[in-house]
Amino acid sequence: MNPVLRLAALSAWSRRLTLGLTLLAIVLATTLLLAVERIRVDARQSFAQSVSGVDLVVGARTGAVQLMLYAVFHSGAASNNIGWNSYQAIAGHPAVDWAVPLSLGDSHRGFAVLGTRADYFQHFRFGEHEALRFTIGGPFAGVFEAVVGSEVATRLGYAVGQEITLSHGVGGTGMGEHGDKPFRVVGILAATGTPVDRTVHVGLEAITALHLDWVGGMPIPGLNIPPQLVAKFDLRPKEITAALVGLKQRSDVFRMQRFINEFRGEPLLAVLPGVALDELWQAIGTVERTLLAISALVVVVGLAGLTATLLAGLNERRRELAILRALGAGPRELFLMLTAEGLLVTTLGALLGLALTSLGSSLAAPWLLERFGVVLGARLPGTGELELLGLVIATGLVASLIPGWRAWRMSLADGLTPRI
Amino acid sequence: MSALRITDLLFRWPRQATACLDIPRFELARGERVFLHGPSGSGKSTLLGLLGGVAVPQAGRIELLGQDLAQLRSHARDRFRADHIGFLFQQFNLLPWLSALDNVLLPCTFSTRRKQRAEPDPRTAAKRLLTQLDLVAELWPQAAAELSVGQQQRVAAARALIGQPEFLIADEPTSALDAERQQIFIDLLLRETAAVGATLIFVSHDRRLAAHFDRTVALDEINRVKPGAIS
Repeated sequence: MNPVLRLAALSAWSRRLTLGLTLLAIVLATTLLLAVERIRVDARQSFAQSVSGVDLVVGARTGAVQLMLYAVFHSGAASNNIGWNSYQAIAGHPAVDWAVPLSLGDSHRGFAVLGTRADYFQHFRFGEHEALRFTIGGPFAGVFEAVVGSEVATRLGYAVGQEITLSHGVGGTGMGEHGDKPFRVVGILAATGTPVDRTVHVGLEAITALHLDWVGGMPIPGLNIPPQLVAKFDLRPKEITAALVGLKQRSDVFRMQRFINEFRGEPLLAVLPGVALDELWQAIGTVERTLLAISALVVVVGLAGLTATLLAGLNERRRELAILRALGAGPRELFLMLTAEGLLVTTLGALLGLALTSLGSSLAAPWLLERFGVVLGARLPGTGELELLGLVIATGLVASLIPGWRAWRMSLADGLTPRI
Repeated sequence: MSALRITDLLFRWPRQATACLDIPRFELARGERVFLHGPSGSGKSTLLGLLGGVAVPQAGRIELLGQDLAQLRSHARDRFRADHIGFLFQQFNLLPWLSALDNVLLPCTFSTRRKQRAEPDPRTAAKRLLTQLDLVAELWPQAAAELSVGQQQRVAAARALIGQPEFLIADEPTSALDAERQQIFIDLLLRETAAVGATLIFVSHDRRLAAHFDRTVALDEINRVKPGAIS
């Protein structure tokens, strides 16, 4: 090894306490940066995979983003419903493998209520085509049975057998309770990191049943149909909010989209969920970029600390530099020595930061999924992370050039006798 | 051939109006041991820097062991210094985080020539020098910072002598020692220098130390710039 570099390493080791603290700052800054990047990428990933295995999402004509918002994220309200006839026409199309109807508009203690069919649990996919799983119980069979998502169950402390009542309207607007027709929880779904976790699922018939004695968003005064009598009515829905469509062949997707968008019966909209989710992410992506920018600043602060430490140490090391100079070291070698020290600390800090991020994310992954619905994949660092790591090291090199340059200047000015 | 020959040397620090050194002629024979004295600020350290090739004069020639330093590029001057000159400074001479023995071995890591001339091998040579300089073996592996000032100066002397450099430059090496130890150290240095046949230039502001040297030179005798004119 180059004798100067060997001495640089020994010298750095002799100042290991100060450098260790600087190293710690860089490790933490890098960890923060990489963690933000990793969560950002994975949040985007799990967002983009909120729904998968669905070829088209169909609703009344509106914006693609708005349709996704209410059909998949159960947020906001549909401007219009679609007729049951239209749904049947789509479901019966020869290219269609399956079509699951969705009916929204009610809520339970702030959580959205989704009216659908039991085959929703079979067709719905999220992430890498993962199917929904029940931690306990199973799909609803009777009219007044409900299946709740994992977050609903955890937050409200629900177990199978729990009785719940639904509210009319979304977001606790106090538009009225369906208190006369209670539901029983028959199944709880495993966590998915998607809006499913925050949803109460009931049958389509249940939605119709709830509203038998309602008209125009209001209970009909003096009319009260008790739950045991609803079976006597025709519970087939007249209209639904949206539908998820799976095709026999993916290649038919654009043909089918055009068919729906040009549907004669009423104005409909079909969107490809992946494309629409990307569009939606663009709209809310500013936050993640801000976070990344803030953590980049933290890294800059950490590296500025490194430069300050090296510069402050340089004054105390003037003797050391003069001795090395007398022994035959040139200004170039002293420059190399100081720069190498800074670069070494930065590189070590960056790599330890990477290790800490990997360790931390694998430890925190279950908790993040449980609490925030973010699926953190256990995987090798992505290209984005490696690019950031490279940037940290490159910035560290620039930061180390300053003390290196100072050492150079000092050795030229001092010669063999430092003026202290 | 002389060990050092200076002709018409003129040196001025950057950003200073007047010259610091103006030495028409100065010569040292091989093996000569010279005491150079002058008050603080008279340019002694500057002259040593020029001899080491760390600074370059604006005019004139410095021939060291027959080599005109101005002919060498800066990197080659650094090599030349490592190969041929042993340096001894005032206190804080050693790298405090290296052991005494490793400090002595430092010149051999910078200069292949010094390494080859350290016979039979650098470690043995270093141990022999330390023994000759009365430093007990228990102290060798200790970090230099843990040694007393007197011990440190002897380690520094061993470091200057290892690999038999032809030229030894000592800059106030005894200023941190008491009077009695000063004389012991100087005797030691003179003896070791003579043993390897090196040329020694010993710089101090304290004329009382001059007794045992072959020759005594006052810097203001050879330098035409008078101390008052500087700084």
